[in-house]
Parts: sequence; structure tokens; C-alpha cells
Amino acid sequence: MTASIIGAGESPYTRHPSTKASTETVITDAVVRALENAGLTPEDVDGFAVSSFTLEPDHAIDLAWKLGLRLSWLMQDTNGGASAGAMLQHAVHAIEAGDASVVVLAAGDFMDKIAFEQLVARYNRATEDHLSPLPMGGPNALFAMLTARQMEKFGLTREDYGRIAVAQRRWATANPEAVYRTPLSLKDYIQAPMVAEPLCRFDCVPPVTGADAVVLVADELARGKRRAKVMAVTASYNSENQSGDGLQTGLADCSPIAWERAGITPGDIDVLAVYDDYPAMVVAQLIDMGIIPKEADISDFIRKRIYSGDLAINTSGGQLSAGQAGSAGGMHGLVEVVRQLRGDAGSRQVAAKFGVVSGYGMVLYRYGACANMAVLEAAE
Amino acid sequence: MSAYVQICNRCEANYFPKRLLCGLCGSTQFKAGSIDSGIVESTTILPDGTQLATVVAGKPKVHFIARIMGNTVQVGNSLSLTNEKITSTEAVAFVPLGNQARGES
Repeated sequence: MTASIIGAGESPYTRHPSTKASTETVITDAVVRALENAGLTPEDVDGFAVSSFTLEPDHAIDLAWKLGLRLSWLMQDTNGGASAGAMLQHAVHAIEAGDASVVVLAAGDFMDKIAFEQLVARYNRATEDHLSPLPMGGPNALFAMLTARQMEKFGLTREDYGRIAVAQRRWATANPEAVYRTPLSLKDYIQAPMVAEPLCRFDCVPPVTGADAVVLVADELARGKRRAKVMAVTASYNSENQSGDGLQTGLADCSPIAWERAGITPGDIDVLAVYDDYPAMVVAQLIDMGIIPKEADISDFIRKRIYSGDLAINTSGGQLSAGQAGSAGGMHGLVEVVRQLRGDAGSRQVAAKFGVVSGYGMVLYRYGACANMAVLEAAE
Repeated sequence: MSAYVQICNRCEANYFPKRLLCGLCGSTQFKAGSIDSGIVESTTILPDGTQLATVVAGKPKVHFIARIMGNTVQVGNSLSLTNEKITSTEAVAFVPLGNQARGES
């Protein structure tokens, strides 16, 4: 592939947005930060993509207009936690086709309590008709049942999931932008109030207001700059028609292609951002991407690689500690891996040459139907 | 007591929620059907005591997300399915129907 990310920015996440904040103000803030990070100006941009649940009645073109962007390529994505990978996949092809050379990818949402309740009540028609009247109040109960199935299938315990949450909180303590940075113990996790058995408070992402953006450019424009070169982006949609148990994501289909195109193996990866709406989905995606080897003792892997901090996974604290800014959930992981690969991760910086970012999302009725992964390489 | 299920006119495949095209035979023609009971595949309990469950039934297997009413259930239990919020001393699985049953013969 012939495109690289040379800038990343995040509008600060907050659980309590000011009355002046809106979806477009936080996305604008992220775009400005990403362009500044890239050393570019809005005049340099000729491609733009955005994903948001709460942009309506505006669309991507409205944002482009208000941002003053003159574009030859424009995209709007609607796939929530999978939107970052989806936009990246399309933008790389746009650059390769010559349709654009400097593309800003952005995602974000104003997500206060009311906005969140409205979003989850009318997430799609199936939710509106068949889940909200139960009542359900969001996807926690669905992923509680998925987690229960995963516990049964692999013999996992609440402590196993707790070790993932605790490890991510440990990374978050070194990320001043994470909304939850107070150290979390396994005892804190086990004693936390139940949200939907077996999920407790620390298994569920905190909704926040915020936005993320990256700047993707043609490789010839990235020379001499620290960059995250895109080696592969692959995706899978509706891989099994909601007919399975949800424990296998579309990454099982698209990750072998990504590894082949990138020319590396899961063992070569130095830093990962795995879409972490729930710890069980971290486990599922790590299995599907081959990071947890087949036949491995999953509990042992969690303890020895994740809980120990040996595996640099969700080094921002992930959404579980940094927060989930609506549709920016996937972009948050992309921003973090780009920061790691460009040496911009501050006190949580790890030595990393190869990084991987996974996206997952869009619960149709029982679990998410969109998945993708991007393999990136540190380059200059 | 039963719950709505969408049935393909051509191959009799069952669906819920409603689909636009049969994934097995490609037909766009469906009819309304019903399923009386199912097996609890997984459950969760909310802080207010509400029990929700995934209940499987039909052919090919259809997964219903249901609220358990009347009593509590465990994985593997068989119970009746209904689209109505009813009062019962026995556990039943309430599956909201919404507007998705429209447009079928």
C-alpha cells in the first residue's frame, strides 16, 4: 500500500460536556489537532471522511463546508466501532486511485446521557422494535449473554475479564487524556456493582463526548516525516448473518488476508488497539486475529501477556478507561497506535515497529456485524 | 401461546427479526408463522431483577432475545414464547414484536 498516517489528534474526552460543546465542535477540534500534528493546514486537505451517530441533520458535506475544505474525495461512514477501519480502507484506495492525496479521517459524538439513551433505543429498526420494548436500555445485556457463552466455552472466569480491565486501567494511568485514571485492583473489579450478570461496571465502556482524527497522505508526501505506514486494511461485514454465538467475529475471515498482505505474522506485532467495548470482545478478537494462538490456554494468556503488561494492548487505557466517544470508538484505537508508532505516546510509549488496530461494531440484534483490522508500520 | 416468526414461502426457513431476502434460497416471498416454545441458550439478570434470555427455536435455528416473565429460568430450560406481556405463574419468554410483522400474507 502507498499511504501513511502522519498526524493524529483527539478532542479531550469528557463525561460531562459543556453546554457549548456539540458533535461538530468536538470533531472540528480533533481535525485541527490532527492537522497540527501532521504539520498541515486545511488548505492542504483534498479528502475527508467522517463518522458520527449524532451529526444529523448535517452530513459529511456540511462539515466539509463549515471546515472550509475544498475536496476531490468525500465519504461518510455509519458503522460505529468499525468506522475507523472502514474509512481508512476506502481512503487508502482513494489515494492509490489518485482521487486524493491528503485525507482527514474523523469520528466523534456529543454523547451526554440523553443522547446515549436516544442512540441505544433507536440503534436500528430491530433494536427499536424488539429490544427496547423489553426494556433493555443498551447493549450491556446482549454482551452479558455473549460473555456468559464465552465463559462456558473457554472455561473463563470473571477474574480473567477483570485482569483485562485492570491492565487497561494501568495503561490509562499514564494517559492524561483518559477519563478514568485511578488505579483499579482486581478486588475493585470483583466487588463492583453488577450491570448485567456477569458484567460489572468495569466491563462496560463509559460513554463520553469527544472525537478523534488522523491525517492519511500519499507516501510521497510523507517522506522525512515520522509516519505509520498502512500495510494492510481488511474488513468483514455480516459474516454469519447473526446465526452463531457471537464468539467469532468477522476478523476470523479478514485477518488472514491482512497478515498475508502485510507480510508479517501476529507474533511480529509490538502494539495493539483491540476494540474493547467489553473484555469478552477483546478475547474474541485476539483469538480471531491469531494473537491468542489456537489451542492456547486463554486464561493463562490473559494472565501472562495482558495482565503482566508484557503485551502492549490498548495502551491508552482503551475505551474501558479512556471512554467511548460514540462512533469514535474505533478511531480512538487508531489514534493511539499511530501515536505509539510515531513516538508520540508520552510516558506510556513502547518500542514499536508494527501495530495492529481492530474495529468491531454495529449490533444488529444479538452482537456486532462489522469487523476490520489495519496493520501499520513505523516508518520515516 | 406463541411468537411470530417469518417463514420463507419457498424453502420454509424461519427468521426473526424479519429479513428482506431468504439467505438460504434467495426468495423474497415470506409468510407469517409462529413458534410455540424454545430452549434457553443464555441468560442475564439486570440489577432490578429482570431476567433476559436468548431463546432458540425453529429451523434453521432462530435466536429470540426475550424477557423472562412469571418465573426465572436456567440455560437448557424449555419455555413458551409469546409476543404479549402476559401474567403467568410459569416462566414464559416475552419477545416484543414491534412493527416487524407488517407486510406478510
